[in-house]
Amino acid sequence: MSFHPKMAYDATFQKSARPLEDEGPAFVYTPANRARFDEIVRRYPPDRRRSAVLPALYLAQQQQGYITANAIRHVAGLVGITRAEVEDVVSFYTMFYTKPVGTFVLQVCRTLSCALNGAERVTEELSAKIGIPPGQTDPSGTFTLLEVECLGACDRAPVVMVNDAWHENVKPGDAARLVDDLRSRGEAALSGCHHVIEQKR
Amino acid sequence: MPTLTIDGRQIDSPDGSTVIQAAETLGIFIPRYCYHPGLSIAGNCRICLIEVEKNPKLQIACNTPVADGMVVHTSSVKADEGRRAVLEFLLANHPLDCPVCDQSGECDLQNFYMNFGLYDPRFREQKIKKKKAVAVGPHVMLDQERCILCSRCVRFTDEISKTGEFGIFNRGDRAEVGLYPGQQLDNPYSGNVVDICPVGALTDRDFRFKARVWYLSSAPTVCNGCAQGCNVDVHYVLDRPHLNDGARILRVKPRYNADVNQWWMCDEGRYGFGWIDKGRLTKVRRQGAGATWEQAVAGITEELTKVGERDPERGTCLRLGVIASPQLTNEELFLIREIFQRALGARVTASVPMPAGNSDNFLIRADKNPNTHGAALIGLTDATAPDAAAIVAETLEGQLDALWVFGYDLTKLVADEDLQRLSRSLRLFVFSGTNDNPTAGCSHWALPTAAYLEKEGTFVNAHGRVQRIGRAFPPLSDSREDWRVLLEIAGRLNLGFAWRSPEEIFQALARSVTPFAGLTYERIGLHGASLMTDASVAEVAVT
Ligand code: SF4
Ligand code: SF4
Ligand code: FES
Ligand code: FES
Repeated sequence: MSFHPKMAYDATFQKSARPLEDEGPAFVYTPANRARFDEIVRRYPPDRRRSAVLPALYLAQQQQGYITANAIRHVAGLVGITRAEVEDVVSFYTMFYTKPVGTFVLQVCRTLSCALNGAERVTEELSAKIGIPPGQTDPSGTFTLLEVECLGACDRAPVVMVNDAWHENVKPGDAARLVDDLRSRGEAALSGCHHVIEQKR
Repeated sequence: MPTLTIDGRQIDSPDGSTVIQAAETLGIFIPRYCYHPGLSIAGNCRICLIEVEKNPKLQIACNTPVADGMVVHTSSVKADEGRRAVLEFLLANHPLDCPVCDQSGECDLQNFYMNFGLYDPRFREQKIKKKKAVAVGPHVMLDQERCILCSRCVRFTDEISKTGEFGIFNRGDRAEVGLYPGQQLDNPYSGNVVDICPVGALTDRDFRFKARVWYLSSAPTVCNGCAQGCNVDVHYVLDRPHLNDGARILRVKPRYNADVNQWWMCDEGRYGFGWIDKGRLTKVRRQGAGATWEQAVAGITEELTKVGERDPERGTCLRLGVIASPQLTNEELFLIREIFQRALGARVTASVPMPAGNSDNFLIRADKNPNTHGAALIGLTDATAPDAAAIVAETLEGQLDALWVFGYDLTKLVADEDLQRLSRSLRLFVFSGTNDNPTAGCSHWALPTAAYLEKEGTFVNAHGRVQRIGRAFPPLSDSREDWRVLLEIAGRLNLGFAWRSPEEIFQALARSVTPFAGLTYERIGLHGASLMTDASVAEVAVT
């Protein structure tokens, strides 16, 4: 007799151990988004079509707010790559959300420059003010608090990115005011210097 | 063609080739994890660092194109330092399971650490925990902690099997290889990812925990699973019967052959070796009772000498039918032709009905016999000659008096009662084969013969390539090679054959069958030799 037990070869034993959290509602692009997707894909040479996966995922996230398994299936089919390849990308980049997020997503940089300038305190203050730990969304669905790596504005550390806009020099002690501002004035509360450069205000 | 210098030796290397390839032609091995000659270049593991003069930083050999005048040092102090640092990072989160890891002994993490390792590790932090022993498919087990994220397996499923199951999810130290949820690694080539995984992250469920690899012996041969004839190495153990319930073969690995299978093989061939150690015929049997080879050879030849004589009762000649098999080697089929067809005038065929199997346009062929083309060349599958069904029908009608069946199970053609009737009506009914089956049970003489791994010989694959099968180990128990049995019978029949080995039989075959002309065992070598043009393959193509 062999010393070793035989391995069970049943089907249940072979399932992937990493289920996606949400199949989500059925997903297809709206006609408008589909048209934008077609336009985006035309910018890539046919043998580089797979590179369109990033903008395609952004579109899906714009449409639905977050990326579900159904959205992954739809994007994979349109771009012509496997679902595993799409999930590669989704799980790599922090800007893709796999759960619903709030109206304002606050991303606090925790990399070196920001950390040295008190980013950790900023996170703590935001967390206390909104009443949720990092990684969560408040019950009203207004704020999601996340910690992320370098946002590329290290000279103006600490940086908090609110949706697509930087909010720079958020000194510890200031952070709570940012939340109040956002509550009362919405997007208009943002003060990042790229607003000046890009003449957004 | 650029000329460069690697470790003080000059070499011309084709445009577009890389330093790792140029070094390889010089016989200089540069360590690698992510680089695999059969896959696209990823350049992510950094173990192949080399020093290129006039270049301040170390370069990766696998993705540095050769350039004229380049001066490369593959094992300078600086390059070794670089590799040491790479290994330190790779091991930062590695579980060091070596004592219980199947890869141990053939693991490139171990191997390269022996050369470049730090030996006195500085890592004091907690390691990241990931999933262990995840059965990702029917054949493959994944250990995410051992994975070094070289992405070879991902590129294999993308580029070779084109099934795209694997992906690398998450990032940084949380990155892990895995499948898309709900999927399985269940494609016809899944076993190859185990071969190319440089560490113990992907292991073979069939081989898992059966033996430490340093106990394995290896023999080069050719897979007999279909007409492609993939080159393989068979790994076996003879002196440790407790390891695998006494079975000798533990696993089969593809052997590189640029013209046949490159680095790959299919799962059917890889895991289909069970019959060689299980269900074998081990003893000569006469009407179900034990007998010796001497009795068998004497008894059978005595009947065979009567073939062609007049049967006084019926007034007709005694006639013999032979159902040979495209599982036999060219040497054996040639002997069958010489003895039975030419000397005894028997009805001989090697066309046996086999349902066409699955196939694809990569390796897997629908013809599941390894030597259909050889049999055709030797002239045993002639469209004008009878096939197995015709011979069985003739026997049932009483036109044949003696029948020799090589390996084939007649119950695939006739009902059990007919087989019994056939057995009773025959004067001589010989079955020779490797495994027991109902035909063996009904035969007058059941002769245990050697499996293909237990004998020397050649097959011709679907592309007209002659390939040698090597003898890995001696025939099981009392079984004998078919060629040996046939030679003994030829000797008793005084046919005057002077051949003593498959090699000598092959020489005679090469003299007699034109497409084999000029070939010898030496010329066929380990990688086979092409014998025919495509046109001549088409001519003898078997449906
Ligand atoms: S993968 Fe290699 S180094 Fe890692 S545990 Fe297995 S044998 Fe050891
Ligand atoms: S599982 Fe093996 S082949 Fe696949 S990425 Fe990890 S180390 Fe490489
Ligand atoms: S470290 Fe925070 S933006 Fe770069
Ligand atoms: S082998 Fe060159 S980077 Fe991996």
